[in-house]
Amino acid sequence: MIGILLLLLFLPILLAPLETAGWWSRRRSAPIPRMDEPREPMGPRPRIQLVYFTGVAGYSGEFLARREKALLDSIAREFPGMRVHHEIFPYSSYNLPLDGERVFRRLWIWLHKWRLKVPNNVFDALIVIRNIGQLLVSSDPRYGPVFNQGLAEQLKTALHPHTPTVFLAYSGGAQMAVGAADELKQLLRFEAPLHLIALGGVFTDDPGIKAFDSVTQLLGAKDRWVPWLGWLLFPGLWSWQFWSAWNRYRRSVRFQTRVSGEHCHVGKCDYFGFAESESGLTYGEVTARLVSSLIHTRVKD
Amino acid sequence: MGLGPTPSFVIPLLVCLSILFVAGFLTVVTASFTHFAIGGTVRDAFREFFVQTGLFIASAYFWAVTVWLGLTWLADGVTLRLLVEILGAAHFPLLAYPLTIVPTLGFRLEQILRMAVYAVFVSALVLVVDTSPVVAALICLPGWLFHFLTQEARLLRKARS
Repeated sequence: MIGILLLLLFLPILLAPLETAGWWSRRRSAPIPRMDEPREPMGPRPRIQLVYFTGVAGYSGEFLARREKALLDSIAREFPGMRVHHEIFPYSSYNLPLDGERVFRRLWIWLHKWRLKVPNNVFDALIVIRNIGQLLVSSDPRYGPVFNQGLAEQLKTALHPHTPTVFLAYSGGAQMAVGAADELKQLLRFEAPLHLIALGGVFTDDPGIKAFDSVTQLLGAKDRWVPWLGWLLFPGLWSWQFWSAWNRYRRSVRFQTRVSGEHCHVGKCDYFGFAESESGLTYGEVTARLVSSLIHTRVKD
Repeated sequence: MGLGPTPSFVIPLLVCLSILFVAGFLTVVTASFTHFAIGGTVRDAFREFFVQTGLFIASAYFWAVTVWLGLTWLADGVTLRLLVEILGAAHFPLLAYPLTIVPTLGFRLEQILRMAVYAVFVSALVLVVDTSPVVAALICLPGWLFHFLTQEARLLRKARS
């Protein structure tokens, strides 16, 4: 019985590559857009673009938790002329939210409604496992390039090509940003500077990290084990593999780790929390201040 | 008239050949599926199935021949039957090959399984043919490298193309 249950839980990870395969088979038959073809008008050029990638509990790009919205609004207020993009769902190669046209659409909608009633309930694990499957696809050297190309194509349609772009990624969103950024730079010739600010980011040994002009990992003092999960699975993160792309990047001046405060990974004290921290500000406000100051520094550089 | 008793070597030989066959089949089918997941077309997957089958057979032959030549050169001669048995049994870890479709974890597992095949082959040679571990490891290396590198390079090149 337990074996069957474990198999059922493992199934979304086992079948994760098929979603990308399905997209790619449709994508292949469609004409491949040329790099230099005219793009749709994107409106006035923003000063900065902020792309937000949510964590593995994400449901869709359009839907964000109230706490996440508050953080993004707070950052956007600091930068007049900033365009914030959170509409891209990073756990789908073609930006299909969990309530999109999917086989298990009803299940995801039911789980989402249940989550809104009872936050952090046990069934949330199904969404998390499903998204972890896509994270593993993105970081896999075999399936990853195709998945990441899809994500990069979604970003390309949304981003202005000549504007400095900052990725703000929470938890597993950090790997999705790394995968997409590499394809953006290499395949789609995105030329503007790219920066990544990770909130308790879970990284893999994806060599795409070198696509970023800077990477800052913000770690809360109480965020102890989730960001280190990647370390367990990806030998390229182990320090004795000093030649790996990750370790070379980590040794360079472009990588920085900073303690964000007393944040934990999930709960009232997480990076978006409304609860008051020891400094008298809410946990979300502490994060917003730190992220804003980092954006100021990075974009001025 | 009966056929008489079955020679004692037949059953182990059949078991080892069966392991080789099933392991080979599972490897080829799984690799074709992985290519389908990367390439996205059924036609691609079928073509890959035939290419992979050819590669698996060729690399198994190449491996057997290089080991046989190595042992003959060192005067540690080994019968062809014994070599086939060792080769078949060494492919036992590849029975877990279907698990390699799991993203990321599967990629690591794939490398571990291929290394396990090498380790089992070397250990079997040491035990059965009474060769020193270093000699056995060196003799097995060319065939295994041929197999490992062609498979890995093919998979990663496909993913990047």
